[in-house]
Formats: sequence, C-alpha cells, structure tokens
Amino acid sequence: MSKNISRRNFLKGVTASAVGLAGMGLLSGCASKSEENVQGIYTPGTYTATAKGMGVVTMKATFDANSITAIELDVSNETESIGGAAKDELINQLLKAQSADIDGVAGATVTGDAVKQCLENCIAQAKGLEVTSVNIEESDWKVEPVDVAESGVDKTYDVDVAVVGLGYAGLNCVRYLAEQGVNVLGFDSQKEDSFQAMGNEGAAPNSKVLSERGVPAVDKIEYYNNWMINSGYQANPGLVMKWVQNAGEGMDEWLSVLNDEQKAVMTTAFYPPVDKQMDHIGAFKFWPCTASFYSMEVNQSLISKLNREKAVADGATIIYGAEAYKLIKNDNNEITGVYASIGDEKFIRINAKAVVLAAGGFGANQQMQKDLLTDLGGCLTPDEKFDILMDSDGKAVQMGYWAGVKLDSLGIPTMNGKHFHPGEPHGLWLNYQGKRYCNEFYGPIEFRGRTALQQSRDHYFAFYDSNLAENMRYCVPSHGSTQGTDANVESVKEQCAQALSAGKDGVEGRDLSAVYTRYGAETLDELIDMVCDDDKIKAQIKKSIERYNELCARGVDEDFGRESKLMFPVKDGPFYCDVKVPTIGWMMCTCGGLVINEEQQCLDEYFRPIKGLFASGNCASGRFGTEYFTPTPGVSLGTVITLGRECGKSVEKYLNGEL
Amino acid sequence: MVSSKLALNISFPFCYKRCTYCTKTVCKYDPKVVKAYSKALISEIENMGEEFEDYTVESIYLSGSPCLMEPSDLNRVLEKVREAFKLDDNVFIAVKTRPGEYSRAILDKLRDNGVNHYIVSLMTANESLHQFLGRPYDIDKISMADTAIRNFNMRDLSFELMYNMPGQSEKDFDNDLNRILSYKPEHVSLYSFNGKIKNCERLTDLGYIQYTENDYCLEGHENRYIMHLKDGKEYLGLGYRSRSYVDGVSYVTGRSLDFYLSDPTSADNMTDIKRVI
Repeated sequence: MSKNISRRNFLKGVTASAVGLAGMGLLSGCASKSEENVQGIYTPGTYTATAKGMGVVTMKATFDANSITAIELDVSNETESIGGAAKDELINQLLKAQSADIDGVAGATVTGDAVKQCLENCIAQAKGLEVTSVNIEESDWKVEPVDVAESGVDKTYDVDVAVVGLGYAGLNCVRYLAEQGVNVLGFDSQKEDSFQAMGNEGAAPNSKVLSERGVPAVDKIEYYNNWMINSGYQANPGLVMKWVQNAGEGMDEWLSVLNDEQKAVMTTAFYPPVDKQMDHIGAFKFWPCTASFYSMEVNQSLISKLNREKAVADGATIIYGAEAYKLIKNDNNEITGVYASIGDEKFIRINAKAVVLAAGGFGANQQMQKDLLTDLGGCLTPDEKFDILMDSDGKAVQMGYWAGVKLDSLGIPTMNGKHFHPGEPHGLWLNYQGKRYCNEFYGPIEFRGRTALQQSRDHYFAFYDSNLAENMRYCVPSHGSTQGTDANVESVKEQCAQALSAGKDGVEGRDLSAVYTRYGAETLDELIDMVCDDDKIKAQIKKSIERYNELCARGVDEDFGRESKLMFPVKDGPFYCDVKVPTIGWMMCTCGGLVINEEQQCLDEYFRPIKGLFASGNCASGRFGTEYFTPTPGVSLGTVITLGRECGKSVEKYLNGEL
Repeated sequence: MVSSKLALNISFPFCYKRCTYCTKTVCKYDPKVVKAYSKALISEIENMGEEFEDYTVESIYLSGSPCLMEPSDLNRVLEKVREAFKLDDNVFIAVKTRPGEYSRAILDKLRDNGVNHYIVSLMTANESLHQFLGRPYDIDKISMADTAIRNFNMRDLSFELMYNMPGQSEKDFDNDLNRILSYKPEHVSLYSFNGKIKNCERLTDLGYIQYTENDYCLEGHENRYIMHLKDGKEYLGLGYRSRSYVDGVSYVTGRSLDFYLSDPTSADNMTDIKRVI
C-alpha cells in the first residue's frame, strides 16, 4: 500500500474477507462490545474483572507481554449448576483462543457470557491506555490550559484594567492608571513580604534627578537616531521615540517616592566623565545619564515597595502570590479578563476592559528558549545550553500566544548571550587558531564579540602590554564597561602585577559569565609559551601580534577598522594574556516575544491590535530589535520604567475610545 | 447526479482512565497529544471531504470525549467538517459528553457549530456503582453537570444509564432513572452491563418510544445517526479507531495512535478491512 493512493481508490480494490453487515459491530454505545481486533502488547501482570451472570462472576487473568498465561475463575456465586469440569472447559477455551471469542459450554450460557465479558475487560486492562511515542512538535508551553470551572473561582473582581506582573513595567502602568482614577488591579506571583525587584540602575536621559546632579541634557532626536542605528532599524520606531521623549518623566516619577535622604544615595554611572572617557566610538554614540542604586538599604526593591504603596494609596488593588493562569476572551476574541491561580486549585477571576501583560521574559522555560531564541539557539554547540539568570517563567508570552498574539520571529534580544569577549577591548583578541577575527573595540560592547558565535569554542586569547591599565582610561558609558577612574586603573595594575608574579600558573579572574586566567611575562615569547603548546598556533599568534603592531604604527586598521586612537600596540613589556573559553548562551534575561505596536497593544497574526490586550516590558518585543545594546548603562530598566508608564497612558486612551 | 447520504463518526478516543466495562481502544489523555490529534484530525477531514464530495452528510456523531479538547481546537475541527463536507440543511449533530467536562466555552462552541443532540454519559449517579464502574470523573461533578445543563438550557438531551450491574438493585436503577427524568430528556439510552436486555416499561409508560434495544425517545427525537446505521446506510469514520462502511467495505482507521498522528490520511492507515456482503 502506498500513502499516495487515496483511501477511496484503495477501497475499490478490496476483495478481502467478506462479512455480513450485522457482523461489523455497527452501533457503538459506550457499553458496546469491542469492535476491533487490535494486535496489542500487554502490560504483564494479573488483572481482575467482575461481571454479572446469574450471580457474580470474578476472574483473575495473568498476562505476559504477548499472551494470556493463566486464568482463575470464581463462579461460586452462580446458581446455574456448572461443575468444575464446565469451569475448566471455559478456561481451556479462553486460553486456547487467547480471546473471549469462544463457543462456551452447553447449559451454562449466562455464566459463559459473563466469563467472556470478564476476559474482555481483563484484556482491555492489560492493554492499558494507549500512548504515543510520536514526537509531538507542539511544545508544552503552546498548549493552552483548560478553562477554569466556575466552582474553582474563589473570588471575582470587576475592574477597568488588570495588570499581570508588578515588575518595573507592570507597576509603573498600575501606578499611572491609579493616579488617573482608573479602577486598576495588579497582581504578581511574588509574596508581599519577600518581594524583590531585580536590577540596580536605570537610564534616565533628561530626568530632573540627574540634571540636579549636573548631568547634561541629551538631544532627544540624536539619542533616538543613535538607538535606531544600534537596532539596525529593527526596533519599533514609535515605541523607541516614546521612550526617548518621556524617559525623564518616567524616571522622575519612579523616584518621586524617595525622600531627599534616600535620593542622596543615588550614584550616576560614568558621570562625571573621566579624562579620556569617550562619547562615541565610530558612528556609535554614548551618554552618561544613569540613576544607580547600589545601596543595601535604598535599592530597587525598596523603590518598588514605595511605588506599590503609592499606587494603593491612589486606589489601585494589588494582589500578591497570584500566578497568572490564562486570559479570558469573548466570542469576538476580545480580551475581557484574566484568571490567576492562588494555590490549592483555587483561582481568582478578574473581569477587565483591558489586560496588560507585564510578567517578564522566559528565563526559566527551556522549551521556550529553544523555540523562540532560534537565532542564538542555532549557534549553540551540542555541549552548550541556555543559561539565564532571571527566572521569569514566560507566562506572559504564553498567555499572549494562547490569545492569538503574534510571536516575534525576527530574533528576540537577550541581555548578553549572543557575544563573547576574550578580554578587555583595549587588547588584541585572537581566536583558538591564534588569528585576529574582529574589531575588539567596536562601538556597542554587545556587538564586539559576536563573531565568536560561529567559531570553535577552544581557548581564546587577549594580549596586552604594560600599558593596559593606563589604556583603560579610554572608556564609554555602557553596560558592563569599566570606567577609567584612578581607582579602577590602580586595581588593573594590581591584577597585572599578580599575574606577573604568578608565572605560568596565572591568576584566575571572573567576569559576568565566565572564569578566565590572566598570565604575565617579561617577554612575548615567554608569555606565548605559557598560554599555548601548539607550535603552529604559537607561530600564528606571533604573526598576528606582528601584523597588529604594524597596523597600530600606521594608525589604520586595514583588517578590522578599529578606531585609530584605540589602536594600542602590544610592544612594551611586561606582557599579559587572558585565556578564556567562550561561554555562549549565558544571559541575564530575555527581552521580547509578543509583537506589539507603539501603543503597546498586542498584535494578532494579521498584525492588527487585539482588543483589550497590551504587553509591556520583557515579554514584549520592539525596544531593541534583535539584540540588546547599551548607549547608556541601565537602558533595560530605564526603558521599561518609562514604557510601563506610557502603557498606562495608552490603556487610558483605549478606555476612552481613542485607540 | 443524486448525491448519496452519509453519516460521520468523528472519534475522540481519549480518556483519563479506563472504565471497568470498557473494552475499546482508549488513549491516555495528554493535552499535548490531544492538540496534535486535533491537527491530524483536521487534515484527515480535509482529505476525506475531497474524496467524498459526492455525498451529503445527514448526521454526525462526535464520539468518545470531544469535550476534552480545547474549545478553540474543537471549534476548528467542527468548522473544518462544515467546510470539507456537504452537510444537509437539517443535519443532525450529536455529541457525547460526561459530567465534569463542560465548560461554558465548550458548550458555546458546540452550539455555535450546530450541535443539536447532547448525550450525557452518566451511567449511574449511585456512588458505589459509580466507583465500581471506575468512571473517569468525580461523582460530585454530576451536580456540576446539573448546573451546566440548567444554565445552558441544553435541549435535545439524551442520558446514558447502565443496568444489570453486579450489586445494583432495582431501587438503585429507579433512583438513577428518577434523576435523569427530572431533566425531562428527549432521549434515553440504557445499556446492560452483562448484555442481557431488559425493556424499561417505566419509560414506555411515560410515552418514550423504544426504537432499538438500547434507545428510547420522545416522538420525533430519535438519534438520527443511530437510525442511519440501523438502516444499513453508509457511514464514514474520522479519527483514530473509528469504523467506516463505504463503497461496500468496512474498515477501521488507524493502525496505532503513533501511525495516525504521523500520517492521518494514508491508505495504509486502514485496518480490519472487510468487504460487506
């Protein structure tokens, strides 16, 4: 037979064994006899069945994987006179037939029928419930959970707006709506007494809190255009402009809950700038306008708490310990509310005119990572896996997907993950073959190490000479960069001195995702012998350093286009080398998933807004395009704080019929 | 060209557990598998609709446990049936349901798609007999079913009950009958646990017409799918382990669930093929 033959054409050729209409087992009620002869494999064991004969018949049938091996019958309840012989005859017939299809024994018809039924039941039990070994392509997370029964609903809330998640985006949305007198309810899976806000610093261009510290104003259009260049014009232009235009207000409002004493704890990363600090590298620009809270007491968890208190004071309802379950839709696919689980199989139902999904990324869901981070996933070796610091469970993206929101297919940004740095950008980076392969000091720090994604994961090298510490003064305000302050320069000097004295053992260092070893030696030859034992690679390393120094001398990087003033040669001893194995797949969080428009409305598969559904923060796409980048440290927090508030404004417009 | 009349049996062979009397192929309920199954079913429906375009469908039976599907998936399946087959204007669509499986969303989808005969597979409301049968829902779901039926105003309601169970007294059965009669069902099906048929005079006294060994109905409320089969007319099974009788041949779809899910439309999927004389 061939699958290419249609079933009907196949039927025309059937001349196989004939059967009368009555023999087909036509009518199938739930209680009807088996209509199939499926070749089944049994689960070995003994099964018991009972059936009504004249009295009650009980059978114990024992199965191995392929056959019925023994049958015990209890017919003592039968009023019919069936002797031991008839009972044995029935058992013999059943074992011989290996089915309930037997003639039976004269004078014991009713008992015989009950016995047959018992065996049918035992066979069915031995077959168990059929399961499939087919690899179901559909991932678990794509399967919408069942509806909540009315009896499972512990409490129902009727509000204007429900906000799922009280992170930066959700909370700012709740707070704004409460201020406007909108009946808003926000909930979060975290408990009130242990509520934590992740992160420390937020970008805040043009905020009053920063201008009071002397941080200069930022040209919004310049900031916006630079952002779009970083994103390869893949970020949502309207959404990005909304962030840039309102970033000052967003951060000022977020911090307005702090008193002067608490505000005084704030620091301003990369401001004031140091001597050789840069505001651009090539075409890429950078701004030091970040509000940082690294204090143990006055941190983002406290700021979040104070903001929740303000929202409640303004009339918002906040529920802790409630896990989002699924959205509620009406017949027109409009979102009309959301269910949340509060434990013990109990749910709350929130009826709302609009729901905002703001429950973060999908750092805790490996299947979602595999399904959604296809660009990065495709770059992982068999030994690598995703490793995500923030363990949001991806519920917001899932709920949106179930409700028909389009998922971002262009590449979801992740904070880190898609790049690898062998060492400081001030050095010369060589790959496992000893070859230079990229512009070490390319503008956005997140883009510098991208080439490594599709290169072997053997040891990489970063070579420096004695000027490393002083060269560190060249820096840009960017996430994960070190500002070239005197203190930082001194600390690098110290590390180098340690490496030098450690000789061929080197000194272990650690950055966000990886451990590396720094070696030091008076001469390059000595150093190369320490970090490599392959003659061919050693020769290549020497050749690469020679070539690089030659380019530095000429001040033109013909190979990878590095800025002339950032061409620091490797020529004055002592020399240093970081040796590091790439850690691809490590990231802090995911920053996208649900496709939204500039009003943060979720879009359906035709890219039209789904009525009543918004998404903000890490569950939504559009802020960065396909890769995270940081023209200012803290843009992740900065954008979600502002866009959460802006989402509140959009929801307000929606409620007023303006969207 | 006069088009032939066809009945469809759409099978949803999933269950949480096997009832003690059930000897059918039952597949373990798993939302992921059920989702994949709905996809396979849709492609089979599409394919078979083309092959049977010369037929008019008079009746449809959604058998097994269709209500375990996600409402949106069940909706897609039913929409696909309407799209792929030519349905009679007066098509009869019956659905099998069990207490505890109704959600408002499911009932909405069933109604939207023209379902006009709801079979409630109760078997018994007696707690110990319910346990004996190993029914796949808690007995307290029966009262939830009450609420669903009343709130939704399901009409053309049919109840399934079982009799001749070991340990079941006349009174037990009468209680079950009283319970279902309180809904004033248009249709009742009574199944004998041991296959010995007993006619139910109480039902006939109340004006129900017994039209098969098992089935009783008020006038004009026969299950037209059953009538179709009883008349020896052709029917087409869709879904895993469904039986068909078309073009003089009877067969069952699906060698195994694996096979069905990976290739639902293949001719290779037909088993137990018999030419009917």
